[in-house]
Amino acid sequence: MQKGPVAADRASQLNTPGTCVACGLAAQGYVGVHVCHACGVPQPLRPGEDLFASFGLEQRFAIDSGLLERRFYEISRLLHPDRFAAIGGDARRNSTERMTFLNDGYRILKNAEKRREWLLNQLAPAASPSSAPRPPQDLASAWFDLQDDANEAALKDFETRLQITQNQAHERIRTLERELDALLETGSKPGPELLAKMKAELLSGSYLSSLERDVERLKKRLFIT
Amino acid sequence: MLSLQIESNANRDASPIIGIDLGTTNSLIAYVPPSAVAPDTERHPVILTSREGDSLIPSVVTFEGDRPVVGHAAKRKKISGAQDTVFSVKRLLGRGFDDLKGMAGTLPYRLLPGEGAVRIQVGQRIYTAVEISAAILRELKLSAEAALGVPVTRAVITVPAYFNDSQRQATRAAGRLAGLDVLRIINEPTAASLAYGLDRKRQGLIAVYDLGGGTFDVSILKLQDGIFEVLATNGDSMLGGDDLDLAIAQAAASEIAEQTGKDPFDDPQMRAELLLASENVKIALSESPEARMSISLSSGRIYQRKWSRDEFEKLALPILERTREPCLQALADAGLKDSDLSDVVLVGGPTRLPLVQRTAREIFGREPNTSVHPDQVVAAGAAIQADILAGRNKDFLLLDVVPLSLGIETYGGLMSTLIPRNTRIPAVARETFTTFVDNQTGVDIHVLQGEREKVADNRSLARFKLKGIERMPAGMPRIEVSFLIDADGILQVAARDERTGNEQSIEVRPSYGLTDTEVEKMLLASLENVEADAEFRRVAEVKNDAKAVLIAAEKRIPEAIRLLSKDEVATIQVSIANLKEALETNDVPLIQEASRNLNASTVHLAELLMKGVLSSSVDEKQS
Ligand SMILES: [Zn+2]
Repeated sequence: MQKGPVAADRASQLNTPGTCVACGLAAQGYVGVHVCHACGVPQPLRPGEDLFASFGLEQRFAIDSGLLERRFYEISRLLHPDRFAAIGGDARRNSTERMTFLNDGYRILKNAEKRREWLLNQLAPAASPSSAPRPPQDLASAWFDLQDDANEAALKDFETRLQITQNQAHERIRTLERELDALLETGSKPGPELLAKMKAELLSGSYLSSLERDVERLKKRLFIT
Repeated sequence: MLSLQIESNANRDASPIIGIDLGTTNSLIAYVPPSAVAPDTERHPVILTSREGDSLIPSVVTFEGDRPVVGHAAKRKKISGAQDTVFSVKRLLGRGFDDLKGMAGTLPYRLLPGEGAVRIQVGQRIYTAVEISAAILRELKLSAEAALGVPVTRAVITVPAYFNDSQRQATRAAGRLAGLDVLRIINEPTAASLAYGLDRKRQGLIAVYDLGGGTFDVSILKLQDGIFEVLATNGDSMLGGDDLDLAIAQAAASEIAEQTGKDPFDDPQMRAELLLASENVKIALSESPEARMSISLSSGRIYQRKWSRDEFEKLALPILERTREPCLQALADAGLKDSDLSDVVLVGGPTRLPLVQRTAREIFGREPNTSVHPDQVVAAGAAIQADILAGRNKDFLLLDVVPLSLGIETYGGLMSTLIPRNTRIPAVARETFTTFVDNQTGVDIHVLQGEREKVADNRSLARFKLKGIERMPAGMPRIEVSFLIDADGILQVAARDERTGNEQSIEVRPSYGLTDTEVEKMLLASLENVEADAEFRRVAEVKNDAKAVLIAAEKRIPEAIRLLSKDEVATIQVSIANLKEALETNDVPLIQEASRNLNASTVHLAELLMKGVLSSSVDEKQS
């Protein structure tokens, strides 16, 4: 619609990082990254912004989910496009872009699996798992047997075994998390070996989750017929 | 407070945004006045009354010639003019004839088979559901203008949470056709929660169980310090109070058929009469254990029947049971158990029925909250959202989600979801796809909405083609598809060939509702009505100004008696009576004359009051 001038405007918007596009004052705190504390103008999204920093959090595998939610509400209250509906223009556009980013970040950080995956990718983008994902061999073969001969007793038995395996995997992940977070707390970068170990555990964990979903599906089929 | 009185011009909102609950059975309008002193937490909405003087405006349209008549006047013609009177049009909005096969035989008016949006035959003319809805919205707009005394051009309109994109777009189109800029379409249960949460003591996790005339919705929300976060939403857009009426009507019809050998449903007028009588039975049974039904048959005989609550509940139970699954699904989607909830709020007229309350109690395992006004709460919430969008309420914020999953068609006729249901908006999603045939130079992007695996079971929203892909073996090209939904819920889809940078994008319009040209054409046709509307608006403005003068004068009567001669007081009282009489009419010159006379008769009083203020330096407010 107003291609020329708007595009030019947007280019000039990206001025010095850390200062407000509208009033030029230095951004204050984690809220100030999103919306200027002085003039209330939403700031354009810059490529590669850190999810954790967006919520004023340190990069950690374990986070305080209550704090995350409070921060999400606190920032949304000022940043949401509904606040700029009556104003429109760049303010509305920037707030939409930033709110989209914040919504997505909240979705990722809130979910433990997604959060671990994202952080692991940040810390070791190229790391490969230390060993192939290792679904316990006996569990995998039990699953094949079950699909051949699905009866209620066998299904119950399988579910119990899956549950135990999942609990054990979860414990191992929690231990690794604590180890990694302790390193991050001291400001040192975790070694590649530890990260690869975590990656392997996460892969195995997602295999178990998908197995859980398959079992649910099988159960539905069993009970219907 | 039911009606809004404008006291002075200073308080008048030059361009108000109203909230509209466009219901299956009744519609309502609400508005948050711009009282500058009220803190955000006390920005209370008021329900505006219709030109007929009621807050509940029946969503019924009948025609006098080509002129639509809306509201109670139309509802009264539901039987005598059954074939020309359209009700429950919301159930038809954004749907095709094939979607409505089951309903066609249950309505007194005719639905025409054909492609695209369903058409309704009224006399010699054929209308779309969008046009009929626009007629209702126009009436609401005029009523709001009469109440507020200024032109109203902007609105927030509510829809069932489970409305799909076609139905939402059709609602927007109807608003546009009625001369309204629809700033936002919001979900009914969400709107209800805004009104419910106006009382800040109401915090925590709540479920809104919203059974309307034609739709059922359930939403799970988290309310905290003015933030309203929608966690999950579900429902059934083909389930509502109408179905309860229909169940009664069908039971009665089969008895009548047995007695007379003629199915009363074959006769449109009888059908309308039966449905209305059934609705009355249902309403009566929500208060008393028994209700009578009496219908005069064409043979001259009268069919009479007593309905006990038990009998009715046996018919209603299987229908209401259908609300269970959506509630459980919504809880599961929100990752909650029923015991996590702090309240279950009932919304919609049919929730007055004891059986509905019992059903909700059973599903959620707790006593539901019946304290909100089930008819008004949705319109009130729409007005609150309008107030937020106007930038006046900075204390409340609604964090909404997409109600249905969005995705594209992939190989084998399967839907690949890019944005799952209950994703917070605004949202963006990107995914890379590839070709499945060698040397394919173009791909079809087929945008879908729904929860099923197979494309055919979901709703098609749009199609477009990305051309100019380089010839390569299957699986080699990389095509990035991105979905972007803004805060208004409008979806933008783009496809980009990563190799060439070639890009195609569209803003999704329904392939099912009305095209832009169709809407434009209808807009032109509706201009015929504009003159009448403008005249009406002028009357409304004059009346409002006169009312302000009247109120000011009446307030001063005690002082007049104290300060003026008997004759002068009498003149004022006569002028007041004359103006009141004039206000009963729509005669603009008469009202203006009476208003001027009243003003003139109070000039002396005003002078004395001013002097009094100056000499005694008492700080008295001028009204
Ligand atoms: Zn600033």
